[in-house]
Amino acid sequence: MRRFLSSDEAQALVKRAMGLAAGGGSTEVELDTSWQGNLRWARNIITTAGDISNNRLEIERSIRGASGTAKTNQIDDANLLAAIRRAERLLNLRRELPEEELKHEFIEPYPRPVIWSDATYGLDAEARATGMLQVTQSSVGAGVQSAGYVQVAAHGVATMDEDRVWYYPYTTAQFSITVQDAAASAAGWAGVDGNDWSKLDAAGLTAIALDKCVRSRNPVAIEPGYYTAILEPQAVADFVSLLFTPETLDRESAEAGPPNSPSDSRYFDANLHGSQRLLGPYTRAIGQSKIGERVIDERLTVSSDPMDPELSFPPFHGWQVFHPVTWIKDGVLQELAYARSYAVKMLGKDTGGLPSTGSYRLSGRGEAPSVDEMIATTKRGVLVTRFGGVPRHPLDVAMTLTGYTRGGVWLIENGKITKPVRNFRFTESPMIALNKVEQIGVPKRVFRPKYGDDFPEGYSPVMVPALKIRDFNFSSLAESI
Amino acid sequence: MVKRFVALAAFASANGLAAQTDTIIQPGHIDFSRYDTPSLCVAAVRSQAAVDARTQPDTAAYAPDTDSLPPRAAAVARACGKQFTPAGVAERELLNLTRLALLRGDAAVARSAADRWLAMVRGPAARGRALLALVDAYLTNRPMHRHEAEVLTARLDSLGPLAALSRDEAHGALWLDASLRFDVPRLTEHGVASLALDGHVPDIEKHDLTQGSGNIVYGLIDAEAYRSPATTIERVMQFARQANYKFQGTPEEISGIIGGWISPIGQPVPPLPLPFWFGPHADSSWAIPGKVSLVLVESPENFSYSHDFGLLHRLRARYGDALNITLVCKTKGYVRSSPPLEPAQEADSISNYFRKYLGLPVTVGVEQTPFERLPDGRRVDGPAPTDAQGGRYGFGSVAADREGKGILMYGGADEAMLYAFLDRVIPRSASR
Amino acid sequence: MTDRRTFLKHGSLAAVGLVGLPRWMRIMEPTSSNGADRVRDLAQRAIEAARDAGATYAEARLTRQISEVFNGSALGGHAEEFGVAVRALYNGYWGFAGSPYWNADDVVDQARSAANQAKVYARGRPHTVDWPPIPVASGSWSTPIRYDPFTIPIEEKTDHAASWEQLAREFHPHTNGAMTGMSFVRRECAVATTEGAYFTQTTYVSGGRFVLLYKPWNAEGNLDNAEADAQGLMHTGAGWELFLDAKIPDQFPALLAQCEAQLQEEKSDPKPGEVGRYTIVCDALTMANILVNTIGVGTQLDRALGYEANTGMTSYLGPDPMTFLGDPIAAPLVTVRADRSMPRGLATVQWDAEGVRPEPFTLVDKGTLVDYQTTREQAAWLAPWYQKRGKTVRSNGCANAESGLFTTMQHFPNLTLEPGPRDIDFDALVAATPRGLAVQHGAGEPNFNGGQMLLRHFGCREIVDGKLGRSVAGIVPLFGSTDFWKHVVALGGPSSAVQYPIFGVDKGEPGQATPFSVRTVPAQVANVAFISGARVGK
Repeated sequence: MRRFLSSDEAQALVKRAMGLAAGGGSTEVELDTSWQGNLRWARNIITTAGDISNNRLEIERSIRGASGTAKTNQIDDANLLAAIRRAERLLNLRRELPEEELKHEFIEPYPRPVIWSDATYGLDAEARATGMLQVTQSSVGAGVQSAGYVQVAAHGVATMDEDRVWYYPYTTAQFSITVQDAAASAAGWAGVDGNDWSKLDAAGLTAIALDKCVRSRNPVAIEPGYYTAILEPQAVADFVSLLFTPETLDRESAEAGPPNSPSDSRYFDANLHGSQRLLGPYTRAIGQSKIGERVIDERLTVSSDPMDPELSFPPFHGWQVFHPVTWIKDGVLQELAYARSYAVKMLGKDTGGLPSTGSYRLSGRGEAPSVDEMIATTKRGVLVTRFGGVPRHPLDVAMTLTGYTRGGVWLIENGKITKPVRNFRFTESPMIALNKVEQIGVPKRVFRPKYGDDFPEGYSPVMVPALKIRDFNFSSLAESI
Repeated sequence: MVKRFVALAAFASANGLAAQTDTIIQPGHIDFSRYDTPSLCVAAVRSQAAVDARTQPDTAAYAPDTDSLPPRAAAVARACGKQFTPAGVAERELLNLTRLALLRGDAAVARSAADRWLAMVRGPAARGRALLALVDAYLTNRPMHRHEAEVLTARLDSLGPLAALSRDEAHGALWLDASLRFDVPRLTEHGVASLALDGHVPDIEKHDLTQGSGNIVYGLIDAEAYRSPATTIERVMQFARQANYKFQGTPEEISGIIGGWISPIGQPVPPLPLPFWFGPHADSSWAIPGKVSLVLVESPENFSYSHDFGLLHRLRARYGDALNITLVCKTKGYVRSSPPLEPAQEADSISNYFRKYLGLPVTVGVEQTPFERLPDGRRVDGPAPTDAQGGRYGFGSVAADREGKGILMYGGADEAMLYAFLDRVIPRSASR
Repeated sequence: MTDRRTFLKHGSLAAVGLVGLPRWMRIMEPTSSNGADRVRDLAQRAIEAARDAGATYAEARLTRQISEVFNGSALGGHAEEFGVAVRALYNGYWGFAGSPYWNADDVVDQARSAANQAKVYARGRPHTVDWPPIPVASGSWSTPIRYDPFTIPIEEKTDHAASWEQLAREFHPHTNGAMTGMSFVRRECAVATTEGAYFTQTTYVSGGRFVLLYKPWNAEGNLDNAEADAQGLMHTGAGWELFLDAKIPDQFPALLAQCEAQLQEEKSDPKPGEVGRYTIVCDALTMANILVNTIGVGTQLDRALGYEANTGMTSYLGPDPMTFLGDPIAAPLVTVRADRSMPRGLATVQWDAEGVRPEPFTLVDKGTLVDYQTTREQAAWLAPWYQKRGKTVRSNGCANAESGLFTTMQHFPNLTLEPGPRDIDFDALVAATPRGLAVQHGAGEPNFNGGQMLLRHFGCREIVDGKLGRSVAGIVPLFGSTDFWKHVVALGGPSSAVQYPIFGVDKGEPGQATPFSVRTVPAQVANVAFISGARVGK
């Protein structure tokens, strides 16, 4: 079965597309060619599994500033021709801009992270099945039900026009497992993603989920309220990632502030979400961001870098190149994301834009205790595996989010885990929580199945440490396992 | 493991792939049988006209009496909606039927639709709005139907104070047309009429006026400055009294402001020292002894789209070497999508843009905008020398005669007004 | 220099015909000999190849989806996607392959891959799939529409939108109009199975939003802002006629009245709410959101049995459905039905993805849980229940897939909350409430199994002596799902029913979603708990 297009094939495809264009002007193609092999199981048996391939093309035709786009997933000449004609049809309805002839092209090189793994690409159906069988045997043996998912994928992302071909292949791998003992109202979860399947320890994760399930049996209800919370890395990522999405990190939005005045053209935008009418976390006042101010705990730093060997991602999107950037250093906001035009106009720099992908590393300065060490130093608290149901939009200017705990949650008393507890709904602001940090662990790679929207296939890996946070608001019981 | 890339077939198999290749997006207005209202047809004509103009920015002189629809838009107007009659459409469509009939060149149907609509509208405020909408329809059609607009405005006036807002707006629209033609008697007549209504329009409704009374006062100052600078203050104040118009200030204060505004007329123009000049100029300024000089303060962004682009060529054709035109621009740190530029580079780039790329027969002066950097690195521009001149150079045009004395001295002069002032100092026979 | 021209400021679209293009035709039409035969041929090749490779059952599903999305009144973009999905069964295990390649060699390759995968997985624990027989599906079906939106020129659509916006501007000195989110999707699907089925279906989704904006100046010299949505444009299984039939300009007077009422309401400050239990009156939209997130997800059999435990949600009506079937989960007044035949329903088809011809079915009958949403395989899991009731074990026809790049699984059918016996509406329910709260436009999130729901976005007004009073702030409803449904006291009547489109309820891994419609009525519900909004950040 055909999998995905190589660099040569992608280039040949684009050359054909260019040859089919009519009427002059330029043609640009963005391509995401992909193959995915997956395997899903539940109740200890495989349910759905297979291979999926796709080619997503977006073709843009431009003539003197007027442009039209069309999307297709077909790569034969006849369908390419049809898509190009659709793009040209749209282009002929748009106004030309003669000054486009004076456009200055900004070309920058992109870094080349190593994000391809043959082990990932080679995990065929047989290998996936074999692995899963071993996993489920342990669940069957323990008298519990496991459900989980393995996915390996390979992508080639490309941006191409008459003069340049940028193509980057990468692989992704993910493993996640939920083990449930419904009779005992227990569930445990573990998961992670990465580029290299051989580095994902499926057996180890399975053991963790099974152990959490067993240790979650017969949870008791404890009073909702403010507790010291030890959030495992997954829970931290589930909770704080909204602070680091491309949308939240956008500099121009942070400086403009919400559209609270009729003179702001966004004021009357019927499609604006309610949360977009609130001050964002990085806005000091209308016209002023918080760059230069401390926004989170002074021990914390947030950065992203496509060349980070533990956290690499494809180095471009469209013609935008991703640079290494420290967004927050020692708690102080250093940078927010912007396009190249902003850099030139506002900052007088020609180093290209500073786009963001939603990928980030959150790390701490100083001691980095393990979760066990954090537990040992906690008089009374709650240990959380992960959160679910966290919405993409905050509720208020403080960025309050709500959601529920999942996958195992325990009460800590006098330095020990004493009992499993029933899941909570939480109501807490990540911005405020990151200012109530008591202890910071070592960053670990987490599981990111729902990626951001502004990225091909939405790949934005994250590494965060476990955090001990005081006065975390577990606002009510969630009544589910 | 070796990557297994399956060879890509260059072409799909030949058995009947045509079915997949159709564009799906149907081309063009196929037929108008589903266009069952005049408003739809008006939208179709407008959208066609917009596409007709997609490659041609409108830089022509204001000539509403002779302008017309582009051919394909005119064809759409003819094809769409020939079936509509005033008696056959809903009340809310009668305004658009009037517009459509005008677009089709059918004045009789336009009149009939307008009359039918007016007969259905009750109450002075509502009738005022309806008449105003019709005034607008006649004025904005191309070719313009100015006489009908004037007649309708007279009917509007008969509705009295309860239709003050609509009357003010109608006179404001007619004042605007007169200003664009620099038809002094008409702009005075409609300007004064608009001012006279100012006191009858509730404050809250004044926000809705397209032409604020301030604009109209400036227009009257223009006209009087042209007629006779010596009597400008007296006549403008007299118009205000005639209109019972209340200035924001005492008569002395207002007289002082008007006087200050026109005071440079006949006086040597202040110099404009700029660091960068390209083309003929006199030392540190733009007024060249022996020539009539005109300065326009411009932003280079999308200049070739603007009416000013055509205007500059027409000025050249009209006045030749007798008129020197200077464009004054400010630095911003970049030009369009360029990298950051030093002021000298930017000035050079601006000059090349106007003088070489656009081929305009102009002098270019570039002033260096002072700026600061905020702690977060953002650039904040400060006032430039032209700003320091109290807004005189803020926008639009200022002109000086051959002795360097002011002719016009504030911004916003339209083409016809420029010709009026310049024709007096550059006899046409001297222009070639 | 200021440009004072006013003529023709609209920048919109018009015809630039492109000559020499092949004439459009629908690929699935029987009369289109090239297209339809070719599609059938590919589907047949796929199932034969799967069978030859050892599959005991196989399905091939070819899909083609085209969409147009508008930015305001101008076309923003056009997209087309083809898919080929092959599902093969071997010894109780499924294999799947999906790709965009519509040609003979690739579909055969793909089908073999699906079958071989199934054989690999079948090496695990023995497992059987009960596959109740069904009549062989054959024929063609299409959503009944008047105008295929893809045969209407872009110019015509945008001229309509522009004319409505123009009429909105002319309607009142301070009104304006905006068309947003106008979109059209057509999906063609051909399915062949090794049981001899072959059928084609074409479904349409059209919809958008026209907003009347009302911006009068207020006494402070600022613009007030209110807006109201035109009725009849919500996404449904319809064609271009949806926009024509809505008669948007006729709605302007009512929309302006809504805007004026909005501004009036905003003038008074909200009253701080007190925590406690209330009788509430919910509008139909609130009931739709609650229905989907509670009974809706709860009655998806795969969720109930734990098949979605690793992803978005499980079900509070599990883990053993047999312990819930036959028990009350709602008030006797409540009946919830499901179907794939609702007029203009987004899940309406003639056959589901497995070739089952869906019959309407009841999920909750006078408060009692009587069924779950099932596919062919899943129906057998409830065999004891059906047999106990003397019913044939039969799929409820809920098999679906987002496209030919996703495997078939159970997805939402259309849902209906049956109206109450009296023909009353929201206002009448308010009038019948001596004291309580009116909850409108309510939306929120359930917990992980749908057994509890929190509303975070809603309008809330007090009800005093049967009349709507001040708006109330600072409290939010947080309730158990069964508790909520058991306390339904009254329901709106047939005339108060509203049909809403629902998109984006993901399930599966990789995640997929299919649209469906929900038809609900307003309701009066007693004893609903409201907690402090501060506890949830409001």
